[in-house]
Amino acid sequence: MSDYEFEYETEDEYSNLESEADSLDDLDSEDEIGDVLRADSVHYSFKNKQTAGGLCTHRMRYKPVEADEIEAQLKARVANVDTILQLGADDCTVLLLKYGWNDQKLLEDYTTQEPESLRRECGLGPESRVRARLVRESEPQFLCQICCSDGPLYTFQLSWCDHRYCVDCYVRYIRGGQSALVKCPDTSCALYVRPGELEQLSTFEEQRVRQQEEHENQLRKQSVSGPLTSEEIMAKYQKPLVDSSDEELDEDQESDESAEDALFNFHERHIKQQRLEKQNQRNKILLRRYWYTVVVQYTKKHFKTFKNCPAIDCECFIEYLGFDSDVITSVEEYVAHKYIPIVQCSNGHRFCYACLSEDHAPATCTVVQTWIKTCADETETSHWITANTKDCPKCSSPIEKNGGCNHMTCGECHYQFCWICLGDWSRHKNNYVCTSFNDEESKKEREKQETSRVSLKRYLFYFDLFEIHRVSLKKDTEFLAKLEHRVQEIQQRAKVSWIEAHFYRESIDILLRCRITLMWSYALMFYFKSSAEKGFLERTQSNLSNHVEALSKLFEITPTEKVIKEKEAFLTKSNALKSCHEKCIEKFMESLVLGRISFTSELK
Amino acid sequence: MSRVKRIAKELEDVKKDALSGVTLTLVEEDDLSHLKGTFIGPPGTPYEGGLFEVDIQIPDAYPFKPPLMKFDTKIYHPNISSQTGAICLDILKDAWTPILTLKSSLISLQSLLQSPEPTDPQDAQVAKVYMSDPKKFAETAASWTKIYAPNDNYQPSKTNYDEFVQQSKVQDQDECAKYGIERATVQIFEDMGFPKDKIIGALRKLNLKKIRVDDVQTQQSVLDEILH
Repeated sequence: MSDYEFEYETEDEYSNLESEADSLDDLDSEDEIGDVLRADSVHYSFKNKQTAGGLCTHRMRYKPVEADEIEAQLKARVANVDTILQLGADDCTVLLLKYGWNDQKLLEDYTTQEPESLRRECGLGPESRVRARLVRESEPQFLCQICCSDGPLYTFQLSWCDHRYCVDCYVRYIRGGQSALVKCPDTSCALYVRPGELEQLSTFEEQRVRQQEEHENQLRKQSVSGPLTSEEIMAKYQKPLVDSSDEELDEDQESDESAEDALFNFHERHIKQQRLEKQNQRNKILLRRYWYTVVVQYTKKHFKTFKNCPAIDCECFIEYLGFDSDVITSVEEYVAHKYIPIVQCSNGHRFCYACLSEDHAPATCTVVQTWIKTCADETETSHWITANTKDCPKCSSPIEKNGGCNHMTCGECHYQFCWICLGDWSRHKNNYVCTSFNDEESKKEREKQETSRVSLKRYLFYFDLFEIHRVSLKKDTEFLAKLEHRVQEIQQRAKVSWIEAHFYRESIDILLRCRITLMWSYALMFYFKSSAEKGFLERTQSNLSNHVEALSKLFEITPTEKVIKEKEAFLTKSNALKSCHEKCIEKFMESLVLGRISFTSELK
Repeated sequence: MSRVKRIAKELEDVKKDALSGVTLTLVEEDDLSHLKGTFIGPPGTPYEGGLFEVDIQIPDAYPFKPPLMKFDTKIYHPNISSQTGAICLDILKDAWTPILTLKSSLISLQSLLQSPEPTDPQDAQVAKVYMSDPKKFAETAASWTKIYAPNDNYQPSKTNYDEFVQQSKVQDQDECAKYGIERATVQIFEDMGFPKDKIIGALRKLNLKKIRVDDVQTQQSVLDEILH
């Protein structure tokens, strides 16, 4: 099954690329970029160079890359430096790591300074060579300084020092290191562990683990081949039952998790599994772990060009390649122009390159930050308090009137007052009618209440809409994640190829994406001053909302045969939604970038 | 497994060695993760002859992770909290390596008493006194030693800490010499009003020892680093 899935994945990406390239060609046939796109898998933050209204989108160019690709790049740079210095890849790697990959500075220093002292400073030995047989069996009187175990043990040491420790301790020591550059454990020794030396340790360790596994397997086989006792038979036949229930439990948990942590797309679970396997593989082999650490350190240092995907545990990177524009040269400028640099990693997670939060178009980064803060902030609670309560005139504790007459008695201090004019109740004694209503003071009080009530209502209105979409997005993700196997079911039952059932997945993805857009558009609306433009955007928004609901309805169809029959409807609806979504984003962007809309004072 | 063996061996080694003046004892007979260590204050310092007790917690990952140490004895020192006894010493943090031992850590503490590092203080109050009024500092430290770390077996040779007091003044100039940075280079930036430790930090980060007065470009990059 995994093979099959994998094939699907790659094909999927390929077809996406194709369609994107094709549509580009359609739009602008003289554009060469279509070819570049195919050749180098360069992606763009915006699909179109210009919106329908003619606004230039100043697309950001980027490339989703994986750790392996960066690793290859870095190794190429090591080789490059090596052609000049002729020291071998091992020394060059350490030197480059020491110089933070600044090869210019390294070459300059190497030519101007005395090579020997430079080598010493960078923790390199007198020679570049890596000695053979660094892992070897020790003499019986050997004592490992770290674990105090006696020989004979397998020991490891670096090429140019004689600090020998047992393999177990050395491996554990290296695994505990945070950085890729690890020194010899001896405090007086300045040598770094070089990749070539690590390779010997890594290979030895790998072999030993494999032998151990084989040994265990053999033991297991032997125990199985013997005659079974009645207890063992019991255990054997009970096991499948237990196992399957366990699995079910696990599945439930997983689907809960995936629904919880991911507004992200539908293949999450499958990707998660692949990733875990990859991680295990990498951690098992010391040398691979070494290079991964190098890559992570490198991308952290060059955080302007590389961004790690913010999705939980996603290890993809995005490489920034500049702008397709004469006007905009940096991400900061791009954001200042109110564009949103949304990028998509190889695992399909869409996020904002500038603020590293999930796809939040059409809301700008500032809006998102302010909105999240507003939602979390207690100021909104206090808004509610001012709108719905009055303070006791005597002890100032806030009081909510939940019914009854205007004769109030404070629960705290038992002061009696009139809810309407806040005056002492004794003045109202015999008639339950407030006579001080027209006082200047009570007028002021009412005005104050009025303004705060309007602002609160506005906020709550948009907050409700935002919440509604957030919740239905979550529900959809949950619901659709459970339907993952249905795609397979559709394929099997109807005996169609993956390409025939592909529409189902595609529809789900576009539906989720549009929900995210809708959700953020409401947050954005809250900060818009009312104007004709806002009305126009509201219509676009509700149009999108209608399309979303139309497609969403189709997912209520459950019998598999019917789903296949409705394929036509799925395709029409999701295509309509797709183009409506694009137009909606474009329109919002035009209004924002061209400054056709002004913000309320709530957005600082 | 290796942890138990190693701690047992360390305890044995310390027991055998009477010269260093270091002792290690288990707090509870069957618990190897909690020990108390003692050492004698180094001669020629206000801590001379005092018996200092250190609480030692040994983490599960020992010796791959450093032991957690803090002073049980109250002590007046720039790198040790006068309130909690917390210690600021690199080998007990990121400079730890598995070949260091409890004994070598205690000996490092001993030499920390000999040469305080006021530029990286744990107790800012104490460090301030150490820098501004070394004589007063030495007196306070000596009286704390007498009160909190009494040791009947030891008679201090003299009560003159001139050398120790001198050291704090020299240390200032040492800072440049220690990293091989030219004094005049540091002066350029000191004249601009930047604190010395920041200048040295920036120079070390950029791996510069010397800048010519007319080399404005390099100076600018150092300024960027300092301000960064």
